[in-house]
Amino acid sequence: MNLRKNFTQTVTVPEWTVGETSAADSPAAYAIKETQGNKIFIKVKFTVGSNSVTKAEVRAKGGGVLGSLDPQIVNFAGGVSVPASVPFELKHHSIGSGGIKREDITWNWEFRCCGGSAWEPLRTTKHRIYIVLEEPKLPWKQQPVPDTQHPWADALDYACVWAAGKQNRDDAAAAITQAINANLGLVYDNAIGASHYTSGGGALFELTQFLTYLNIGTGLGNIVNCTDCATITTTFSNLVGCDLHASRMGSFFDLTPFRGIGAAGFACPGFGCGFSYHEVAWKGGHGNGDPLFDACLRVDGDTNPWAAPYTEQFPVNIVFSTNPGAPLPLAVPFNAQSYKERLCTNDAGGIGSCNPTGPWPASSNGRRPAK
Amino acid sequence: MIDDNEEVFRNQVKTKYEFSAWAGRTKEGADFQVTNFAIRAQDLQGWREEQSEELPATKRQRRVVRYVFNSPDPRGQRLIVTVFESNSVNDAHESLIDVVMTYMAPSLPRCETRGLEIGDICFGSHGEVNLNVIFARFNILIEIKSATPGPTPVDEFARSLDSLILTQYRRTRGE
Repeated sequence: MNLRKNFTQTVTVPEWTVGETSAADSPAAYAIKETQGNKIFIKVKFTVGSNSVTKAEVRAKGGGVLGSLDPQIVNFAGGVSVPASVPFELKHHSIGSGGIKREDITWNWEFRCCGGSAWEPLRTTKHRIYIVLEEPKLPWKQQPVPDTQHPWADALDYACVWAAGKQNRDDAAAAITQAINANLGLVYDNAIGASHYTSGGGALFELTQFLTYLNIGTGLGNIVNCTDCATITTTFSNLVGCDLHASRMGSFFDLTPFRGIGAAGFACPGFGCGFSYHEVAWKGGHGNGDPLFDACLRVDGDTNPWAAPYTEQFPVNIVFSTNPGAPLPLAVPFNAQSYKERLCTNDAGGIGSCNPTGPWPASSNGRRPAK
Repeated sequence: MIDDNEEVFRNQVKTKYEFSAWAGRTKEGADFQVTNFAIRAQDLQGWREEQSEELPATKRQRRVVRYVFNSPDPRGQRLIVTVFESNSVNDAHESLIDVVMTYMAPSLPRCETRGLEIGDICFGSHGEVNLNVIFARFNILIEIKSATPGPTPVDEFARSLDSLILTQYRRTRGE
């Protein structure tokens, strides 16, 4: 896949050149779906000190998920390989068998030539390999080249770890949602519920700032709202091949207590038991029957979501509403795995006022470009 | 193009914030336009500018700049400050609605009810102190958000910014 390091830095090709010693400086990414059943090649350029060498046999041991490279004859003319970039097939790769992955690999290159029968060490190269489920979805793009929305290695460093080992899109999005909710030190903006990581009227995701927060704890801080959580979930999930978008429900509805991101327990937000709107990472057409992922809060998952005790449940891959037209109040016990009924009060001001309203108009259909 | 649902939501927000009671009005200098307004750390005693960045403006604005300030004292407060230099007072007030529409809180208290008298129109936050403030003065809209949770209010910082705007106004009038 076409990669870049981050918003400002590209990944130059070839990814590895003499002098690079860190795997992170030589990144490459592969998509399981698009590579399945296809031969995969890397291209390698060799030089040799003596112009008299016309051919050598080359192989590489190690290689981790990309596997070792079988011996191959390389021809030389004037000290440079012919063709200049020699294709090596990845015959022993294990792309796909371990799901999503970030792995630093080492190839120990060896050669023999000029009548010798023993393999001699040539060079050691290190590479950071990202394995994703399929080609990243918007806001990430593969074309044109170059483009700031090519997948960022700096973001893959997190997404591939949060979703490590996941073999399908739902499991990957669920793992990413839970990581955002529970592991990053983010807390809900109880004072006003404002977005800290979108800008331009909600048009852009401040991913560079967010990565700075993840790396060194600064950026734009650890306070977030639902728009931030939905955007972070969408952007990182789509980077590994999911197809989510940030979309809203509304408007002005009453809430049953939930556990907000970063909160110790179930309660209403500091500004009261109501939302003007709420935004989540949604699948499909953000309708009543479409599942969603909400990193901003955990709902009450028991048979009475409108009263204590509270049994916390991550809202991951949960349908927005299984029975949107049901007369209110709903009966207890309530067993449906249905999101809005577990978020809102059991009356017209809650469940009855909470309906899908679509992505923000400026949000590129809920796939905010990363900046 | 804004569809009907968006317009309905916008009108609901305007009602919640009693927009018609303050829209287009200034406390003084109705025709005054602030231009090239910038916040300089030397104007804010005890604060250090960590970063500033020009952000995309909408059609209502000439320029939008986001600053991050931090206080080196033990409070360790970090503030995100966004300055929207709008085309007019009306545009500044419509921009205020654009911004509060993106807040999940259904409404915010007026600053005057929390002891903070700044701007032509100002809203604070819920809770014991103002951790966030949004106010408009002339054609300038300023949003101040705490970047980290904490008990320290942003009131003094907000007063300082309002004073900077008023200083430019009074200098222009030769006062």
